[in-house]
Amino acid sequence: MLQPISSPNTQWSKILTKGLITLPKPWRDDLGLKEGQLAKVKKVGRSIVIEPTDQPDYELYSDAEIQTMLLADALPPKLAAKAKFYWKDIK
Amino acid sequence: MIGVFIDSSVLVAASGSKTGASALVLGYSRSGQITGVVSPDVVREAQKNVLKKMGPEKTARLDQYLRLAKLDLIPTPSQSEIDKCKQIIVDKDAPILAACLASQTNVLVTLDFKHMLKPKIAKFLKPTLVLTPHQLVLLIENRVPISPKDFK
Repeated sequence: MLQPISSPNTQWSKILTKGLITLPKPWRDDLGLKEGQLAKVKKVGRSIVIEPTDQPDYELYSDAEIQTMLLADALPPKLAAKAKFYWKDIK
Repeated sequence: MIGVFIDSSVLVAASGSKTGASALVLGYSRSGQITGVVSPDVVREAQKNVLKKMGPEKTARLDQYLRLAKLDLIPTPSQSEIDKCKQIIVDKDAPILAACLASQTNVLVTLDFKHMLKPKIAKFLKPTLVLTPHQLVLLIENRVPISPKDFK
């Protein structure tokens, strides 16, 4: 969806010497970006994305954990049939 | 209606089996019996796990659940909200716990026995209940009230 220029997520900033730019303080506070901290900067197409370095590194469950989850998730036949009915249109 | 925050582990289990309690909980959301709620971190963590551990076929199934289950996607919580949760849970799960707290849902459903299904998490989230999908299914099927307005 297109965002209006007045959106709180959009702001015009002037690029200073050597490419320096000021990020709005509310955004820095919200994302925990502090002076002196490293940030990850990525070029994505014609955009630049700045991410705090403490972006969550999502947990990867072990095979054993997934098996435990599936075992704990098993239902008696009547309820299993109900679940199957809700999702009969997907693979 | 009951608001249910759905953890990534539940999306992973539902991707693994269409006949388990996790799939049934997503079915309740699809049929409007509950309001299923997720955050961007929940979706990304589930996508990462399903793609790496279960392959493209189950990843396609996950995408279909996300498209059809009428889940409310709430915004990522603020850094201060996440920091608060880092005192309670491992850093990796803090954004999800913070999103659950911010969602003000009645129930957190999770299969994360290692981090989420712990007494300290239940105490932290109170009055939100922390349940496995199986426990939630039993409450719904037996019409056990979770909050006074649940079954009107």
